[in-house]
Amino acid sequence: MAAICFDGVSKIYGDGTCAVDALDLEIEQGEFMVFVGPSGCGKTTALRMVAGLEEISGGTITIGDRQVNDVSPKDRDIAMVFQNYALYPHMTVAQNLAFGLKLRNIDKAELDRRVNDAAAALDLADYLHRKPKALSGGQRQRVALGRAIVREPAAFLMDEPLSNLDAALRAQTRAEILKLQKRLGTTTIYVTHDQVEAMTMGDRIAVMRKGLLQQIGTPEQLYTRPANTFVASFIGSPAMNIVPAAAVGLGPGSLLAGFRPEHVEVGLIESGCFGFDAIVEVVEYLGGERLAHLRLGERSLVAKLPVDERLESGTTMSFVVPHGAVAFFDAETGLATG
Amino acid sequence: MSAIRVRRRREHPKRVTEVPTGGLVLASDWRRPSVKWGLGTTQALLLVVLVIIGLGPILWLVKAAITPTQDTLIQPMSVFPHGTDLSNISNAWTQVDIGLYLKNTIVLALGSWASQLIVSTTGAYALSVLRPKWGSLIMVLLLTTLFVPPVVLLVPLYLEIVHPPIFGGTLENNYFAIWLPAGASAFNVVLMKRFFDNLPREIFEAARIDGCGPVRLFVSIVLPMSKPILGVVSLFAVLASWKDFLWPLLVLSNPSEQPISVRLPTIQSETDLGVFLAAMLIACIVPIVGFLIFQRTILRGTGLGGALKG
Amino acid sequence: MSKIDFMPSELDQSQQTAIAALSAPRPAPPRYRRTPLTWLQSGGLSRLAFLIPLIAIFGAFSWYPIVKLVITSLQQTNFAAPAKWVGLHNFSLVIHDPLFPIAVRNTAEFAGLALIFGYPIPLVVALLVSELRRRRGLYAALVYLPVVIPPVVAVLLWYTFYNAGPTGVFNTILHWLGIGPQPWIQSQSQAMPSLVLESTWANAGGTVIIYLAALTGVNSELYEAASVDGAGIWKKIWHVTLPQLRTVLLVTMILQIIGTAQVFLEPYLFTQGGPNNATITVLLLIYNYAFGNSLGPQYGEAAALSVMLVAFLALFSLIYLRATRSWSSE
Repeated sequence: MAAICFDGVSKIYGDGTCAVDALDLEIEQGEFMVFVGPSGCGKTTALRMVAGLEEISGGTITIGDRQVNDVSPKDRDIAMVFQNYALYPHMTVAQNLAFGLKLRNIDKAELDRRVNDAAAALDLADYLHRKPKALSGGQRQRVALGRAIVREPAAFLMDEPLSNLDAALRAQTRAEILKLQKRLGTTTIYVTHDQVEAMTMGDRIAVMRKGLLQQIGTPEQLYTRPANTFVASFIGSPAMNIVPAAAVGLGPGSLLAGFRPEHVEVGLIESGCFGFDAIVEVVEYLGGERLAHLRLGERSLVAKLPVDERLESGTTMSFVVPHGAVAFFDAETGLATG
Repeated sequence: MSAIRVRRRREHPKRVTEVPTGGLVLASDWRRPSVKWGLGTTQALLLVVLVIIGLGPILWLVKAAITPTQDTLIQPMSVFPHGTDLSNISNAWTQVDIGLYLKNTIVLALGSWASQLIVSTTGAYALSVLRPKWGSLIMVLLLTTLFVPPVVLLVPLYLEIVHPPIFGGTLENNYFAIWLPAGASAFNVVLMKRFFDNLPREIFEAARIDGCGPVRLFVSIVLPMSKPILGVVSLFAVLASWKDFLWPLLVLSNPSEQPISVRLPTIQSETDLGVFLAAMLIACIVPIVGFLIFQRTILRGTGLGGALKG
Repeated sequence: MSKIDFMPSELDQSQQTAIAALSAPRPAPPRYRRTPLTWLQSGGLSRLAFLIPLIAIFGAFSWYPIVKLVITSLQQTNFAAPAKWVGLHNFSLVIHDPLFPIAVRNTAEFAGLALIFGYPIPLVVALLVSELRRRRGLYAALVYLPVVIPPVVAVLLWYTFYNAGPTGVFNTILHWLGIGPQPWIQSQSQAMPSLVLESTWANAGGTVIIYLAALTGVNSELYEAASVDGAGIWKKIWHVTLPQLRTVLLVTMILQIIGTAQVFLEPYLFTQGGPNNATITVLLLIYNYAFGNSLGPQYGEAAALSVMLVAFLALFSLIYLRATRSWSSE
């Protein structure tokens, strides 16, 4: 049985804007599911509907075996980690952690045990008597996590929890969150706009755009088998090159051809590949490899090439891409075709 | 070998109140002699003027309160020509029974304070956090009352107090006639609501998920986070109540129920000058001491209300 | 050369599901259902409960009196018989009262004088204080101290100062300057200015603090830019300070006019409207109608005059806002 199930879930605001359009989605027990997409795509709204912070306009959300449409947030057995931490400023760390438990009349011994366990797991034991304003950003983030952990809920809901941290802290905390989740085995929905975060963290990823679910799959599935041009260009950095198939001699104009920068090589056409000539405009040196920005007619392409490849900006060179690395999409709908 | 004692220079952080200057006169301006001497002396002169004008009358009152009445009448500007006389103050206490009126004033102030806090916190909480459908209608009604000068409502309020429409009886000479209307301050509600509006909504959502109902949210989360604004509103509520004159004059005709401010004109006509001045001084003490203690909050609160845009 | 062995001709399950979902026709958007049950569940009861104090208090002591005021102005009220509707009769009585034009003129005089003294002087003081580098708190406290004193105390204290005899406090001070004793509030010509003087003393401090807050809020970069452009202090005041303070200045002016138009305490306690009606103001007239009349209370007239005052102030504010709209920075 799925831990969390979206069945035709929609969110429509009073003025008619549709934030989430008939979302169908099943999340397995213990799974780390990432909702990803550009801002305004509905990922946060979908998360908040699971939490009970947004009312559901249509469809049903099921947590476990229970439909929770009309259940208030506190009775849904979920815990949420907010982007800006949302710690109670007038309470100490210990009180912040204990607040939800106290409201549920958890007995003191159990409450203390949970708070101390969470503090130990998150390295907060020394800060239990401090107030949030005396903590650094990373520590506050951990308190927010701790508050979710002590509740021992059926699901964690995380709303871009790392976006306020600096890059180094973000990478470190990412790993910690994953370790924690694997250890606890709690079903988790994690919302982010950063596709790198999505790819590195999720068991499965749901890509959303303008309220519509684009594709759901493992990171590898999304990377190698994108369902449409949006997913293809959203996942992976630098983005997949998408050109009309005709431009590289691969097919009729009604098709688009997509290939990733790392599959582009310098060379002349052989069997099993197609090729094209393009002007090298800018070359970026990344240390382990180089990014070459190419121009083919009116289109810009990107190629990821080894460092020792001889590249001169301004020259025209020949490139090849193996046939096996090309994905085809319908030019009108953007959907993947065989 | 002598131990080398390294004396660590303990850094006492100088209590420099970093008050931002207006910025008009730059450091480079101050270096110009015309500015340094011109502006400098003007500011010093201003201090003298302010002391004379602002502090002067009050100092005179203090002096007169402990000076025998005769001296105050004949040589008002001389300082203790015949020594001091504390009997004015003791007389004020016993003869005029200033203590009773002081007590009345305090009781009235406390009740008005409670009334204002209750109305403004609950109302602003509902409008800002709970957000009912007809919230904007209520806001409009509140804002319109801001445009009606309160003095103008004295007549209908008086009629209402003396002949309450539905309940009958009368509220005259009843402290509730002062306490209840005191709560009807749209300014307080707007101030509170603005403050609540600026509280991060995420904290309320976290509290909801943690299991807070509306009442718990109000008591355990919103109120503790609102200490600054509660302080400001409280201070102004107590101050306003202490200064109130006309409404208590109309409603409390029983002398033993009246606050100090209402009694003072009668005291003036019924007792001699020295005792009267001592009574006035006693009436001032609470506001002045309160001001000295809570200076910063009071001044900041006044500025906030007035420093609109820029 | 093909290091990757894709099979592009076959869509995998994840792609197929997605494509099927994206190609399917969109279902009709759901209608939003709101029932009394959902209202209750979403906490409608507590929303109501928290508003009860506000609605009860404001309803009883703010909104109802406003309505009652208008009604009373159209009725003849005395407590013996039930109120009688008399239409605009009360208004006509007020307008024809010989005291009415006097009160209006006096009120205008008070407001005007108060504006002259109480509007620019606080600005100058605030400017000087805002540029202080130290002890600014001391200045602010001194300036605000008179505001903290209960108005009754202030008025009665100044009443003592204004004693017209040669041993009155102010007269003693004048004597040091070689000026003879003045009648102050006992003279028809000096009464109103005396009232204004005390009122300014008691209230200007608040205005100073408001200006001070506005002045320290001016972006100092503007001053720096002006200095670099070559402006001296006076030019900076004219071209930076005053424009930045536009809104505050305009609002303070209208608030002051509205406030002083309602002056009551000073004429009531100092002179009871005398000498010879030199200081009777609109508010004092209203009070006399309702409470000071030896023939019995005339609530109708009192209410009518109140309504006229409110209407006038509202109209004045509207005209004022309209006229200054082009000047205020919005």
